[in-house]
Amino acid sequence: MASSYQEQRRLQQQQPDLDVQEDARDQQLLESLDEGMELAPDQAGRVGGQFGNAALAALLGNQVATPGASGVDLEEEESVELVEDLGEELASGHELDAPSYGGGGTPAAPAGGGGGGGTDPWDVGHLFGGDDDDEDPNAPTRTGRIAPSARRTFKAPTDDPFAEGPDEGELAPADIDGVDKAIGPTQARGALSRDGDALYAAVEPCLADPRELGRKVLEPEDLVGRHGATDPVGRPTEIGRFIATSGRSRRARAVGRILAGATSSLFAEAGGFSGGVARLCTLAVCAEALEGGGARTDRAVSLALAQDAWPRTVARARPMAQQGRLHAPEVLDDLLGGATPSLPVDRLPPPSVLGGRALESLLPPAYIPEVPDLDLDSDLHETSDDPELAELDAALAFFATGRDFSSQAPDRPIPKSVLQPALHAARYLMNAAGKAHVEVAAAGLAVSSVRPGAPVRAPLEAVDRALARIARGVLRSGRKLERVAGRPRHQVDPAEVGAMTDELRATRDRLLELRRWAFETVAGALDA
Amino acid sequence: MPERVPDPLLDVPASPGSHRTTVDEAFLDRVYDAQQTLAILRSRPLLGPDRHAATERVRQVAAVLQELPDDLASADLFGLAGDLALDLGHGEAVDRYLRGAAAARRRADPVRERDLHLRACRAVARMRGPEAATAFFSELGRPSPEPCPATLHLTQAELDPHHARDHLEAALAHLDTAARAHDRIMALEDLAETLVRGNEPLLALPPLAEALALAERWGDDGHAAHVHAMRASIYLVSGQAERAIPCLRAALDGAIGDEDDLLTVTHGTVLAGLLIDRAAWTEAETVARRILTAAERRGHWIAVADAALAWSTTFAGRDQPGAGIAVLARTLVTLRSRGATGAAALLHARLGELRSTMGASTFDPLLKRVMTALRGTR
Repeated sequence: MASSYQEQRRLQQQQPDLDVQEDARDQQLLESLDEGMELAPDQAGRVGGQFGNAALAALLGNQVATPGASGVDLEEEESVELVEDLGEELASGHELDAPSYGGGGTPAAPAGGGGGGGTDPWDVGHLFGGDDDDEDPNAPTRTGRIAPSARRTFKAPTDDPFAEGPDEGELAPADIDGVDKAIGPTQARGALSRDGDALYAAVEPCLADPRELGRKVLEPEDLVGRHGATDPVGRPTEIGRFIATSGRSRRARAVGRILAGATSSLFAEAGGFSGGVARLCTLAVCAEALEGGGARTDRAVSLALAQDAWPRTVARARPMAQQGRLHAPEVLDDLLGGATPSLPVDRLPPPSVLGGRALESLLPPAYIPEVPDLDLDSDLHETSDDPELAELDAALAFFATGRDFSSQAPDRPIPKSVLQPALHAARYLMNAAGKAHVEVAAAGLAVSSVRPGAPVRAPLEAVDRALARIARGVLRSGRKLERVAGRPRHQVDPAEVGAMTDELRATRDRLLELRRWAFETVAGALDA
Repeated sequence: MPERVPDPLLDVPASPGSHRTTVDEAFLDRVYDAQQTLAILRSRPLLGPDRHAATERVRQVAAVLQELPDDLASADLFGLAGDLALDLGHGEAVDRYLRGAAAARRRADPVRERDLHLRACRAVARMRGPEAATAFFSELGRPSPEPCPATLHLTQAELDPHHARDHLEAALAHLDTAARAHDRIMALEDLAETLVRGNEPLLALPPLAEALALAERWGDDGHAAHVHAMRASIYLVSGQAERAIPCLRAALDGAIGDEDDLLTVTHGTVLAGLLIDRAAWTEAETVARRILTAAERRGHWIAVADAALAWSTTFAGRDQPGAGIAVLARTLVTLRSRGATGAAALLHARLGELRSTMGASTFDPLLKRVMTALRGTR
């Protein structure tokens, strides 16, 4: 144990030097990278670690082999293992000073991600550009990873006033048992026939235990902190929230809004806690019934309540991403502890639109940036035709910016800063493609938790292949754009650059389309 | 290519008396009647009694079109059938609009064709999200001048939710004829919903007031009830429960008038809760009993439990705890025997709450007497 700790300390101390060397090597490697190019396995492993998804594996023509895979000779296997070992050691060194990986969008993504302020394992970091990143607070560090934001450390309170004590409002077991004793056993006339509105059973899991459904006296505090899919207030409220945002029927959405936004007004003191819960659950079923669609809708709604799918998947995907072997089907297999059932995609039931929306609602908001148009002359200073005015402008600009624009020749080489907006977009697209593996695996996990044994593997495999193609496309366009930097302005045709950004844009559209298809198809597997 | 699924409304069989080659008096009568029916469908909005009659009218015209195909009539009929489906949020709206557009193209009617294509695009956006309809919309192009400005704005409102308010207001400027009153009500309701989503619920009240006036003018209780329900939801979410009560009463009356059990349960449940909170026991009991009947017809067992719970609370509020316990115990036994365990658990919990409040010494003899009486009646 001690030697391992010392080893980690030694690695930590060497970290800055190691990072610089590593960064320089990676940078050289990335600059010399082209599609279809042959790479040594150790190089592939190194870059694979940076990319963190299957895209690179496909790009490199299956050279990032996993140990034990057929067709990999011992030497290759050993070198890959060495690279992975090194990667793990480095990663554990990172973890000493970095916050935990969490889900939740890319660094520059809008706030509200899925609970992770740190770096995401699928980030590709410094893939494109980077010269101008110094001004970007979210820019990657020299190691290619996003710098951890400063975190305040809180001291745990010694006397927590909110610590959970005995719940005085809870019903005594004697009250529940006393009722049972008086009523006696009831002869069931067979199982409940799921006809009519009884089809909508998504709300019922929270109605299992009568003790949880009643309180001695209804107090306003009883409604505080009621979250989660197992809580008798939280579950119907979550159903309402989902239908209010994703439902197709206007009437269903109106009921959903009442459930999600007016919970307290549905609790009357005279009716007790159980009365309020009954009202909420009734409205949850009504909202589903107004949405229509029977059992399919009910399954889709249940899917929206599988809220632990995303954090569980991220936790499992993290080490896989660090080892550069992030594939959606493998992540899911790992989560479910065995091979996931599969059915060919063309034999799956039709995609479920509502189910797809339910899966999206489980994930943090995706950040898939628009690809901007590039103005190749944006760095050139505009000069007036009037020489006196031009001189005045130049003087003012010098005072304002400290730069002498009059010395800039109009045919000077195109600087990288001109291309940076598109390169940034490319980098974030690459991140989004890596993240999509985890998102789709989380979708598969959610479906499997609602219906164990659902055949979700085939769509995941299709997504894995498509993401590889998308990542190749992004990489190709990014490389082309990078090569424009430094070329004399008169040699660059704006239409040529426009074609490159169009290509990126098309890839972005494909990624958006793929995500939607994947969620709807995976959700459709619920009905198989 | 997969075979198209027959549309239950439009792909109806021809009249039993029809014959492929016979043109007799009955045939001419059928064609004449279909022409008159189609004229009614074309000139009136899908509101009030017309909304209820529309399905049967569409079916009647569709049957005659099997005998005597007519693309112009088909385009109109498919468009109306699409509107009916879209109003209910049903996916077949897209197929109906597209079939109508194909009929309009065969008839060389580009304006009608564009209108139906735009409606189909709007239906796709509503059913599958704006991204799914964007490519379709760009394929339709932008002719100048636009022959169908109202439909274009309605479609753009679905495609671009961030600017939906502007598009809906622009569409409303064009929807001023009586024949498009249905579209106008829909647009007003959409506008109100857009404002609610944009956290401007109070701004949503004027469009709803206009929609209500229009629905009442056309005698459409169903739409009026929906508008009342939307107003109630705005008041409830903004913490004005007192103002929600009259709206909910009107919504419940509309649902009962429309014989819509699901909406009766929905509006009644919210109203009963508010009435109980204000100790309006008599009215709450009436509402609870209505819900009980409607919920039982629909097999909505949780609503049955909720209504029983509300009803029993009205007894407890009038110092008749025994009657309240009897309602709960009887419904609990019924629900358990049907296997509705989740719904039964709610009543079980309520009885537990009452036992806790009243004390075992008061509660247990009451429940015992109730159970004895219940066993005696069975």
